[in-house]
Amino acid sequence: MTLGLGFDSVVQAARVGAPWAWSALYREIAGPVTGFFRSRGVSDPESAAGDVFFELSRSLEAFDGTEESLRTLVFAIAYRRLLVEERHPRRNARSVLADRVLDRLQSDVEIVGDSSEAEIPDEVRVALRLLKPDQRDVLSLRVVAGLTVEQTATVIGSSIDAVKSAQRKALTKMRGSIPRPTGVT
Amino acid sequence: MKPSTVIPIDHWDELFDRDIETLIAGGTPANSDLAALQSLIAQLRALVDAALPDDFVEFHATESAAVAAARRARIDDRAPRGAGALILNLRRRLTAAATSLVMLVGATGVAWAADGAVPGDWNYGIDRALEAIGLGNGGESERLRELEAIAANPEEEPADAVDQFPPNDALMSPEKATGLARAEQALANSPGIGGQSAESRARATTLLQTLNDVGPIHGKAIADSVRSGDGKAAEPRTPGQTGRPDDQGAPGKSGPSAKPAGAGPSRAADKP
Repeated sequence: MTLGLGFDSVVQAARVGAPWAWSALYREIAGPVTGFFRSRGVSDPESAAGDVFFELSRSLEAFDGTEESLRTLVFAIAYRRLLVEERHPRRNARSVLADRVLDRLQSDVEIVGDSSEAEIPDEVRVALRLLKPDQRDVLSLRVVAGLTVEQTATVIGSSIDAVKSAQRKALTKMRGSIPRPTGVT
Repeated sequence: MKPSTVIPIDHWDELFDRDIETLIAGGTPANSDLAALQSLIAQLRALVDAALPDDFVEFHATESAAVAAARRARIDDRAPRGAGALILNLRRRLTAAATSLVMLVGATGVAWAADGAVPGDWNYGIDRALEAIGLGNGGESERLRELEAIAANPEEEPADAVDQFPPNDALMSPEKATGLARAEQALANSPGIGGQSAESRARATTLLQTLNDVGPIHGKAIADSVRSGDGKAAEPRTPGQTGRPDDQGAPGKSGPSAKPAGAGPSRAADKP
């Protein structure tokens, strides 16, 4: 995040409901959040990101921390949202807030492109399918969400060693999916 | 031949982890296998929406801002102000005062009820505990009242009662002696009170005589003497000592029970 010195002011204003502050937060974090959902195969990443911000708007009142900790909080909410999506895909495929967003978008705004798994390049999709769910979670949070090992461990409720182990295994498996150049063993 | 360098597995992990960090950060790792993943990782990273449409962002921002504002308003509404705060504070204080009053009344009631307890009662332990912390009389007059109560209800098992009775070191005083004599006399002069049997009255009388005649003994010894039925204390008194250690050499302080040792058992028989 790059809010820098203005971070505290933005959070204070967001707490009292200043739209400009939420715009700033959304521009900083929403991209990685939608990317995280997209990498994990969520059918409607933008709607899921809207749910995350809806939840953030309810929990920001109690937040007290740095930019890094806010990012950890946002992805902790996103990770919970992902787990709910995986457990109840039909019920949560479109939340109430997402419906309202869709209504608005269909009325006067050009619809943001369909964010389904089809957007993921074939090479990446094949590689991700080799991984176990926890390895996909770790890799997505590290690469797409841009979290550190420590932040990732916090988000998924695991240990730092477990995160490191998961990413080692994930990358080793992904390497196996890439053909080696001729003559290299 | 050059010996091969053996690298510990932990060190391999550390090197590998360092290369992983380089790969994730967009750099080129030293490990060739990880370096081969650069393109794949770059494509994965490209899934991030670099720039969301303005209208899309504004719509979500407005929604979130509205939710946050409504939440803040609810929090502010919960915080009492002005007259509301005064009423709330007054209600809290009244509630606290009422609770304190109930607790005080309850505790006082228990203490009051326990204060009248005699050995053998369920709440005699509470009475003694309150006395230990300075609540309730706990002095000789209370002990004497307890003895009188026992004497007035001799149909109860006297041995059980005296088991609870405190050591009688503190009883050997003129006041106690007076009380003992009064209790003994009351028992002897009130045949049939409470329907007690002649046998139980005789046992209670013997108990009182024992308490009056012997030197400092404890409740267990008294209980043993009552159970044996002979009214003799387990611990013999020092020859020449009266029932009141503080009474030695002070004849002027002697009360109704101040008589030579050994004369005790005949007192009850002297009464009508």
